[in-house]
Amino acid sequence: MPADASIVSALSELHRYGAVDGVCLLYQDFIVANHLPISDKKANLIGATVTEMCDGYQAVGRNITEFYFGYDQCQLFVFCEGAVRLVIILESEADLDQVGQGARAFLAENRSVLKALSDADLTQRIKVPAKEPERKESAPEEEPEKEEPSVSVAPVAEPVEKPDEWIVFREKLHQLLSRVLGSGQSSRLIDRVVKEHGYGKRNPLQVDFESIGNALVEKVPNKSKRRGLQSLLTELYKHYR
Amino acid sequence: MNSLTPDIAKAQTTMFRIAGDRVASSATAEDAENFREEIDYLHYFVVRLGEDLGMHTVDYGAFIEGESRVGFRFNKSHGVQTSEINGIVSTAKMPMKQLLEELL
Repeated sequence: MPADASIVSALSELHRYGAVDGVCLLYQDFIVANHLPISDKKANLIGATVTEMCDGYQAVGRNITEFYFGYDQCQLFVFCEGAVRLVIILESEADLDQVGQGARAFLAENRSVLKALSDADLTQRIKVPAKEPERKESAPEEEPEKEEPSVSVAPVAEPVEKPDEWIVFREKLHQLLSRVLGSGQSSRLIDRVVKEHGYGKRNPLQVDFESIGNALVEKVPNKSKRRGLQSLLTELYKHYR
Repeated sequence: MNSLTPDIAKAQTTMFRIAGDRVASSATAEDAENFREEIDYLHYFVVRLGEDLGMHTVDYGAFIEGESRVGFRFNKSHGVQTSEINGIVSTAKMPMKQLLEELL
């Protein structure tokens, strides 16, 4: 769908608040209109992060309508109405409430057009790419980065890498996590946590499965769902002890 | 917490503090812990978006959920940002600017 001209025009109206540096309209994970003063690549990254953030809250039934983030050199606002997300970058001195009012008015005045986005042809929208290139799970053999100590050490019983075990475990983790988060978000979250555990392109060792699973649970933004997930994972861990 | 924890959400205005050692304090220990978890989750996205924008430091984060306004702000000492966080959850319909000023 070519972004509706009236939407684009209304969107650019937001610039009349002097301190607005740029705006971007997202529908689900598609960029409908992008007027951000940054490269398309960076705009896509921001779109992907905003989508992940909003989807994460919505997946657990939370309806957060406005986010305000302040940084050393700018401010970023995100306004959410279901699958429609309006991203605004402002200068540090911008009047938060004035811009907020303008953004809310934009969403209210264009509600019918924005609603129609769901029925529109998706092919002409720009798909927000994944934040990081997806690692291929099916290529575990390639491990040139593995840091082998130059001095031989006594082999330890456990830490032999078991790529197959990880692939199976990861799939089960993904299935469980997808019950409370979106599938794509679950996948990205697992990749991120694995990375945080110090595994670059390597598959995690079995001794770290539990720690990775527990770290994932902590990232679910809902206490009761965390508890439910934790008990399911505890069952899963039993197969890997 | 399908919305904010009931104990937090029903409060008119509750202040929070997360010290440099990540210990959270508020009127009740449970509220404080819930707030810390809430902020930890949001902070991840605040940082990621800041990185995408090429920013160096996070000053504040806030959101509106139903009737609740939630905000956090990093403390500054002599103009330098610390890892301490002041937080607020309020059901008062105050402007966002005012909410964030409460955290200074």
